[in-house]
Amino acid sequence: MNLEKKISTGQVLRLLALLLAMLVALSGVIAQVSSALAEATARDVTYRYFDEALPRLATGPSAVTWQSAPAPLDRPFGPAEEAIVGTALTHAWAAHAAAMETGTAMGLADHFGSIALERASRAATVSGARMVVLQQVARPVFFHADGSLLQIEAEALIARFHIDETGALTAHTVTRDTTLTTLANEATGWVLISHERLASEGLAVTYARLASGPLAGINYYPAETPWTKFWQGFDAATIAEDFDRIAGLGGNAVRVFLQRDTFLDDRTAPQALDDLAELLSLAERAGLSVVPTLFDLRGGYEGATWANDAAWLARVLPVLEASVAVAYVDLKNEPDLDMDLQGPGQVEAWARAMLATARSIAPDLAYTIGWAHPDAAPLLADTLDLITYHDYGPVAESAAALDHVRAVAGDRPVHVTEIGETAFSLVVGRFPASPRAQSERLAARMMALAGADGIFVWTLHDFPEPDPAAIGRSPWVIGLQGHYGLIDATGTERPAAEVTRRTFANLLNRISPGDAQ
Amino acid sequence: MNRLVLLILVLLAGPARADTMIADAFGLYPSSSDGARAGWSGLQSDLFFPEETRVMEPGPADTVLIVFGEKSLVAGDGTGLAAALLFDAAGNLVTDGTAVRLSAADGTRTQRTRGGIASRQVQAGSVTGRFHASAETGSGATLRQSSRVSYRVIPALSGLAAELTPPAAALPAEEILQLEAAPLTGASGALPPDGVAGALFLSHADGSHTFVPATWIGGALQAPMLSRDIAGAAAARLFLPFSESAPVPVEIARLAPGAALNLSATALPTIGATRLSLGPFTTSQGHHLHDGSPVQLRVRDAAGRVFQSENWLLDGVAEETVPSRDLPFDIVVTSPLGTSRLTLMEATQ
Repeated sequence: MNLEKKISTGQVLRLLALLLAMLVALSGVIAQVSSALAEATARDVTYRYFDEALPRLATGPSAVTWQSAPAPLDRPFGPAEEAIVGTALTHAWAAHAAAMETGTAMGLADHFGSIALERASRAATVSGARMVVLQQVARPVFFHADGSLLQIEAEALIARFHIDETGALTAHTVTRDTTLTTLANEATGWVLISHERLASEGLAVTYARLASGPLAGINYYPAETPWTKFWQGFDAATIAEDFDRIAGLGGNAVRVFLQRDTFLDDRTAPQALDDLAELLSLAERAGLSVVPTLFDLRGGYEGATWANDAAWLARVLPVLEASVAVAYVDLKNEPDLDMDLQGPGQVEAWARAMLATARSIAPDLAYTIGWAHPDAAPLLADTLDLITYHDYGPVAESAAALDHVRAVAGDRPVHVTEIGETAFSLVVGRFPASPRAQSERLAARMMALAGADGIFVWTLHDFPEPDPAAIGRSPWVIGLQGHYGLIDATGTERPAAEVTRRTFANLLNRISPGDAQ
Repeated sequence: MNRLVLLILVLLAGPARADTMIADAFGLYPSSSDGARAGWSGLQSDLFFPEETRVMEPGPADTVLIVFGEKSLVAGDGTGLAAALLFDAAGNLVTDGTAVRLSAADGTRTQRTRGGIASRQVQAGSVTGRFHASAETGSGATLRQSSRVSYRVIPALSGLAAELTPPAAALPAEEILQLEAAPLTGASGALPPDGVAGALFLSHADGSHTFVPATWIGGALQAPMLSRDIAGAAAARLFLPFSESAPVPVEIARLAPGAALNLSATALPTIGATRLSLGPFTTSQGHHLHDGSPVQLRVRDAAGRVFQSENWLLDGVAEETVPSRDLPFDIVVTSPLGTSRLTLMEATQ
């Protein structure tokens, strides 16, 4: 008897649907388990003292630079006085910025007295108004013989802006003001008793043209030391080897990340600056242009911290400006993602102030901001030398997004400074992704972005231990983020590497529309 | 139609002039909201209408503050600084070039402000004492004065010389002594400020030294010391920060006994002992010898046995229990008052 049973098309379809439903359910379960695991691995820690629980703030350089007195003073004003008064001024203006943000004058009396306290307190009550003193170059013009009264003239870089009730930025100006500040040495230290604005000039904005042509690059961390480990574990030999691999992929650029705290903290900054100079040198030797991304992992945008950021720029930008390898500077990675939490106006105000400060320090460098989404491209477009954004969205929308950004940029270059696909496979070598799927998606993305002036792939290597400080503790996310490399953990190129090689060759060898005419 | 055009133009216009933001020394404010702030001197720039930017000039001086230091100037070559800080009625620093008259013990001089501050040096002069400084500007209805601040001119410590007066006779023991010294005066005869510190040193014949902290109040030496355990000859010297006196011979008398020493005894038959009580030990000045003074006893009983002990005075009296009832006792007592010999014939029961 023939017991063969014919299986109908409907049964096959039902079976496939069932399989699909199981896969979807399985991924949901995995995601839930991952979240639970992430929570479980976050331990409760009990601290005895606040000092132990709170993160130690990086202490950076003073926001005040001193020049000599223009005429002899009644009392010597030496390095000790410069340090003490410089600190008093920095703290006073940070307190003033904080008072304007909070709308309360509490705390101002520690730093201001007499007329200045009245005025600072009054200024704090103006809804939405903000002022941040970014830098000061000061010189003493009067110092009482008994050390009780001091007057200084200063050239101060100051940002003033206004944020309305919706959080939007409605006014912004950065000026270089000439000021006259009188301080009294009271029992608790130096306090400002008078402060007047004598003159002001707007900063001349000069835009730099990009010296480089198209850029085909890689967002770079070594396999073993991504994110916060990079500068701590700086290894020139590994970096040189990786830069050669990038050049071997046909790339001519590398995007690197400078963490804010590492270059701000006086304990770590000197070595980090030396390492940065060495990295630039290694890149130049490998024939790679460098796009340094500043202020990485910066937490918060409070005005009281901006003077530190200005000092950070004064420290880092000269190193970048001195190197022929730097193509342009990415001021901040994905600040549009911070706007929901920090307020769009506050983030935009910070970016405008930092761009103005950066241009005053290193006017010959070109600047951009690495937006997370193409929709953010119009933001600050008037202040940037090129427009850059990241594209992890649906591939089908990539070409249209590029066109949209191109319209915003006008005749300025457009670079897509992050694209990438994970090769993370958890189930049967195919789910949620695979090396083959990675290469196919990457190829589709790169084809859609063929009109860009620059493309940077995330990233060169897989990360066996992705940094939880950057991506969190969820095993699911760690799995995904740890497998974006064109080179896997064994050091073997994935198929996506060959896709990248071909795309880079096309990008760098193509004739520009201008040349074709 | 014209009204429609006007409406469109109004809608297209930027911020109305009444609502513009003004940037000043302390931040931003809406121009329509704070008239007082508009009076703060210095640059006030209009963010949206730069042509409206203006420099507010300060008004005439309304408040004069004076800062004077050092507070103590040394006569002869000391220099202080008098600085005046001038504000107008709105709290702005006054215009550069405002004339200020700065007065002190060395006269009145006119200086001109820069950044609201006018200052001049003040010479101490040779006359010591307490003086005042002040500042004023304007005249008549515009006269504005500071409060007065005081400062002192003091003699230079380097010119002070110490001189001890030799005591006329031996100094008593067990007393709070105060050596005499010549009044401490500066070159001009002025007294130095109270609290000048120094030291009195006595070097004794046995090689030991006594250190007494010294202070001058009203020019007079204050160096009290208790003359205990330092009997005999000594050389006294007075030290100041910049000078040292010549040594002066000092004799401190030894203690002498006053009334005869009383001796009483109580028999303790159950333990075969006798309780001795000696005292009060009195000095020739009629005081009890101080508590803790050492006393040695040597007792020989009738059987020839000898008992020795170290004792201390309490309330002028020494007590000892001797393990013997063989009277009479021959007792030798040694104390800071000297040595005495006593005989105990009987003890009370």
